[in-house]
Amino acid sequence: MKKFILVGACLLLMSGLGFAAGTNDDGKAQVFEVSVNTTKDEQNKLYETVFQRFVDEYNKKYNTGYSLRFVSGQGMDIINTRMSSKDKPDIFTIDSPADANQFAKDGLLLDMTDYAVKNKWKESVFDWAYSLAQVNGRVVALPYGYEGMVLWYNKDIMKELGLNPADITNLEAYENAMKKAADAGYIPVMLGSQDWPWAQEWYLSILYSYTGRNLVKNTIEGKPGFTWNSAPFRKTVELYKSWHDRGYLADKRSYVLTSDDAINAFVGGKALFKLEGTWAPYWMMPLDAAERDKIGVMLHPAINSTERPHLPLAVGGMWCVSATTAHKDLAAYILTGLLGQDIQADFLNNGMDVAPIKVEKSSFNGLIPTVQVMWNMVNGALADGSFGYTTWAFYPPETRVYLYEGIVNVLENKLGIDQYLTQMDVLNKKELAQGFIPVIPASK
Amino acid sequence: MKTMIPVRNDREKRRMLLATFSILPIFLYHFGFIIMPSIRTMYSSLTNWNGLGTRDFIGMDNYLELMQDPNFITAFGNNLKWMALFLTIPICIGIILGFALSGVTRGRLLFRAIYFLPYVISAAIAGKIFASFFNPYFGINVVLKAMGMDFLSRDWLSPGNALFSVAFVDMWHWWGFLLVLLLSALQQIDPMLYESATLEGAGEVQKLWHITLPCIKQTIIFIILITMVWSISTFEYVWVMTRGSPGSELLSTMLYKNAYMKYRAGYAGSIAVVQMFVSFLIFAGFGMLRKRLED
Amino acid sequence: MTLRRRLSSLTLIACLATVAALQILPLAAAFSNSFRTDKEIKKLPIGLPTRLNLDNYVKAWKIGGYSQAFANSVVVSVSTTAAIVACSLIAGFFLARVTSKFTHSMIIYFGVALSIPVFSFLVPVYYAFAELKLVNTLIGLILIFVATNLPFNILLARTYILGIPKELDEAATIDGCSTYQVLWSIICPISKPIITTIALIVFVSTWNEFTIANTFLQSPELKTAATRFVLFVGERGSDLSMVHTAAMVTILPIIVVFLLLQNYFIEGMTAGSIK
Repeated sequence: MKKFILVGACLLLMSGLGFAAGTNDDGKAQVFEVSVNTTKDEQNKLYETVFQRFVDEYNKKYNTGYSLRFVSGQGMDIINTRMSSKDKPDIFTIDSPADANQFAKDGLLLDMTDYAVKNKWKESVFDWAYSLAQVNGRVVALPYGYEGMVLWYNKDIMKELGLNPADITNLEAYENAMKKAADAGYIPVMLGSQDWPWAQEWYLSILYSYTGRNLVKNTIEGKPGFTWNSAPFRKTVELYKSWHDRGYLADKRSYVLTSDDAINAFVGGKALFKLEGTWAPYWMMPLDAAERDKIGVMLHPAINSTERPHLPLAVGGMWCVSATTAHKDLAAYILTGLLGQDIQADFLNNGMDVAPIKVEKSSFNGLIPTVQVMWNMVNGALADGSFGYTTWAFYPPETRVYLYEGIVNVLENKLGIDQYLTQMDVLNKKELAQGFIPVIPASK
Repeated sequence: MKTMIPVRNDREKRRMLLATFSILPIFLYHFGFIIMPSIRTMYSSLTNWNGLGTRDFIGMDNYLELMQDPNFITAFGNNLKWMALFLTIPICIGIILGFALSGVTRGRLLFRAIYFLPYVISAAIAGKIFASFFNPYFGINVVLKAMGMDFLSRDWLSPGNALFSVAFVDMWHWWGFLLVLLLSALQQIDPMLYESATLEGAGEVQKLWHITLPCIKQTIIFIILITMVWSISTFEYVWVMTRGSPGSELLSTMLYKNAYMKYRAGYAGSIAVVQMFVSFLIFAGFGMLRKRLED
Repeated sequence: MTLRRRLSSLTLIACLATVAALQILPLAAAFSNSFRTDKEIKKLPIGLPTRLNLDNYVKAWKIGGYSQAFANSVVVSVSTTAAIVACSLIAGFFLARVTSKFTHSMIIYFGVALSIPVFSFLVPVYYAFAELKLVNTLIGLILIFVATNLPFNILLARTYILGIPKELDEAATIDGCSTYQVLWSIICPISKPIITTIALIVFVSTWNEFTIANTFLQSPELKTAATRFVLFVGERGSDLSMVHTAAMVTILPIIVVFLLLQNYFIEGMTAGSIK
């Protein structure tokens, strides 16, 4: 008896579902789907409000009946699946220009060059951003967010060790600072990559870029005579390894600590420096004021005489439009709207990525002082044109994954530096041969 | 002993027909949802599919590359280590505690509930909870130090230890599940067998060895089989805790990275096929072993 | 009871209790942490809360949108469980009782099916569902979950039914029962332990399943409880108090189901011993 009730109830449920769950509401108003990869509630709400506003404005202006379908939390794995299926979103996000490369190669991205020209994107965004938006000269994606690798430090410990961040601009001063910190019982540089192996590539982005920006650019582009297994890169990896061996990098635990551990240790006053990007305000803002004010930011010091300290750059992601979308005009309208000044302040205050435009100074006023300092630094560097190249924005994907996986074996003495760099070179050349097109804007 | 039934009477024939017709729809349902898509993946393993649009036939190239890929060999070795761990520790704990528990009358359900509880937690949550305990600065090591047992503390998630630490967490989650399976089987043992054994003066260990184990043989075989087969495709715990970092790379994490981060979905497909093939070998090996033991 | 037996029974209980304590320690720690603040946890991962308030829970409930997520999870899990229990009993019964070439190959088939990794069918099924417009529906998810849970539970039911003496079947058949009547009136009542076990296993596995649910459900209002957990784990750094609280929130319904099923299990145990 009980079983019948149970089974009957379930059948009822299921039939109810059949009606309720079909959210593919075609036949109603035209649906325009936007997919983002953020997972936090406040951020999703902000995005949805912004997109809804654009859709409403467009509807009003052109007398159309679009309704927005907003989905969130869709990372690259889901986007890959969707974009190769028949269930493609209209606007979606990808992580880097390298991804844009792959998608464009298979013709999945809408060629937006005409819209870009009509809406004057080139004039609104930074030059480097506009060059990243293109593959083979056609505009196929719109970068959003610009982030860079910097070095955060603990102001109290700096003072205690008698150091001045403004003086730490070259290798000697840096190693001196690290040694002083180690001797005083602090961990010189804190970073943790256990659950986020990408943390190794944060540092390598800085170090390779600091080895020589043109060098990196030419090597990735496969210009004759350039290879990863060359003296400058070897020297850099040896330097990194020497820091690890001396215990400067998270006490030899940089790949054992999780990202949370590293953050906690730094905030808990155990380390002098913390290696992280300009997205760190994300976890800094919820701290209480006392802890926050102890944190300062600077550019990583130079490691040789070739390159001066600069900001290895990345984009937070790229907006793309599906090539098969039926609503090109609306898509272009929305993307153009995302470049508007009026929404950037909201994004900033929510710890979200801003458009790669010269954001008005007033938009930064709502931020805490440390973060404002950081943005000044970043904007200054970008205005100068002195930016560098992060691995996740500019390197070919397989080479990049090997870069941060192989380094752990190098640090553990399981892999020789020669082998590591040679393999990187092999993968790089392989990906070029398979049609990977580097988009590396030249920097000054 | 297998008896060949040369003559089937009408009722048995009817029953066989009924069996076929009852199971067939279930089989077809499963086949359509799981096997046919897997066949498609098998085909894509013969191409250079990048997960998006590029898909050119390249024959066995992926497999040739796989056999020589050091990552593959490491990952496969890790899967075997994982299997070895799970074939021994959780099963022994499950049997011993199952036996002990079936002899207890009061509080049995409470114990069973507590032992089963970790199974109910999802991998993501358990992984995060234990990751915070494995923290070198604020985790278990601090507690061990305070208790004077500092020699026990180590870098739990270093490349050398990561696999075992993650396996530990999965075992914490898993053996309660085995216990429940074993208890169901233990219920079926006729209590009279135990009583007559006690009358003949048998001790606890003898009862365990001569009565319990033979009676639950089928269940144990089942458990061994699923342990072996699922060790090949285990994914969630490792992914959540270490993302398949060096030292804890498994076939499944390698698959995920190739499919979704390196744009090598065809290559990832070949890893999936290898997983299926190895599992099939395990199953076939088991079948042959059973045939041989029965003769 | 002799002294010796009393001592050995006490040591037994002591051992069982120790194991139980160790087993539950991480959960107890998480439970305690769900009442602490993020800062406290980051200072000391295992500790007692200073204040007892439900702030974290309220926050987690709101942020997680758990009321909707729970409803979705319940629908998916209950439907899948009902379907699997029915199919497992039927298939398990026939696979246990009937020896034919067909059943033999089915046993092998389902055994091999156990080994198929999720990733080998995830993407192709997505493609098929995209064409059938089953993506982003709860029905679609239920259909997949039923398929993935069939092999294990069918074999589990079979293993259990093998342990039920054939004489019971035969007695009923002689009395004039058809095969399905034997299944319904003889096997099912005795199988209550395995039914509850299967129900529990399927419920838990569908409740906690992440990969498939995350891929196939896109609209926030359709997502299940397990997928909501990512809301609390930020990309870089997370609020640990929220993580532990969300963990507790997600576990609670399963504990309720477990306790409910326990009673059913007791019935089964006593029924089984009556022959």
